[in-house]
Amino acid sequence: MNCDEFIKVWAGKLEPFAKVSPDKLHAESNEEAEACHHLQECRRCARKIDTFDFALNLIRDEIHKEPAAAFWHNLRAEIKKQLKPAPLRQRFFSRPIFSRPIFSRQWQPVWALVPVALVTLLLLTFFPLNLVTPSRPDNIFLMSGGIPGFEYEIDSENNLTNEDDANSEIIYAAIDNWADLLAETIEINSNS
Amino acid sequence: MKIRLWEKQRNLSATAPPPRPFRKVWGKIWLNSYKNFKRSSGQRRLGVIEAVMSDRELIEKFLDNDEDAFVGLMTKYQRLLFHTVKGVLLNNDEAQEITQEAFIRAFKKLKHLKDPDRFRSWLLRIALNLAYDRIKREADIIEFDDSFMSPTTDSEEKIIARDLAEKIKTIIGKLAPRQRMILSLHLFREMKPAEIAEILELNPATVRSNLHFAMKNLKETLHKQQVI
Ligand SMILES: [Zn+2]
Repeated sequence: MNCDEFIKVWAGKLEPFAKVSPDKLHAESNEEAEACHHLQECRRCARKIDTFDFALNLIRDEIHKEPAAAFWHNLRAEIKKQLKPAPLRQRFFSRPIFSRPIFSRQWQPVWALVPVALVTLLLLTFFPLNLVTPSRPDNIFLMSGGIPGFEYEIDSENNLTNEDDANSEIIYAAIDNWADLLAETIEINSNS
Repeated sequence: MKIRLWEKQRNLSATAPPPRPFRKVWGKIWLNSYKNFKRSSGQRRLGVIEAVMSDRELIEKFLDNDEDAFVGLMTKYQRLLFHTVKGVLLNNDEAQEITQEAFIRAFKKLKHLKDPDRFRSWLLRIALNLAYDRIKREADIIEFDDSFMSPTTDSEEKIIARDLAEKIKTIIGKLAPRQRMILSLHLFREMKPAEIAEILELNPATVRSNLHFAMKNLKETLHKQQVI
């Protein structure tokens, strides 16, 4: 077998020659056995095959090169961001209000406005506008050790000014879930 | 300013013990927040999750909106997916984009996965289908890394091998998309034809013949170019 013939046999092989065991080699065709024999004798062909395997290893190394540490973090963050459902508000407004002809019998988002408009009209009919507006305190205060219903005076820094309330404590609660906090306080008090 | 203590608060008699200070309450709230924070960070318990949980368990937890399961699945498969796709595309940026897209598609469709134990193959299939579409659309996306191409201190043998590697990449990039994908998985990810067939849901005989043809094509082209 000459070098060209050897390359032809080698080209059709999926496994490198080195991986073929001697036992299997006997079972292979004569051509395969001849190619193996040629490889043992011909240094030129042996070097070509070594270079080919070396080149494949270089590509494998390049493929498996570990990216920078931030890469995985950014990938994960981006996927997480894309998986998050759009906020309800955004989803509602992303729907066209007039998705169907306005007198269509099928449901469409614009219908949601009808009961809202009716209730608003009803409220405005029975209550003057200034009464509808609730009188909300600007600040919410939580207090411990005080007497329910008793009026306390506080200064601009939220300190109690009543002289005989040294044991009371007042906390300015600027959190959204202040009501939960109060309920929890009552529960603790009742347990104690 | 005058304030009136909330009327609905439980009446405290004069003999009742003084209520606990609010600081305890704040402490409790802070503790809960810290617990939630610890839970959402996920990273701390990751090693345990990966070691103990099967794909099926992780998927069940993920579908229950468990963030740890999301991190667990990502950590388990991100490298496999990225390097497999990179092996086919031979391009870092494209591989990153396809990996991201594949994960997003997989997580969105996860509830429809019939057999969670086959998650690995299913995920790879999603990614490889995306990669296939990509090389079908544009074959010439192979990148040439400068550090890979311009060695200055390497031996002559290595310089020849690097040159050959570039030629191999170019020839593979010109193969038909299916042959390119199958050959790349075999050569660079060292997958057996049976495994490739399972992942791509192809007949093993089809994979074997494609692989044989592609390999022959590559080696004969190199020989014709007198590189080998
Ligand atoms: Zn020879």
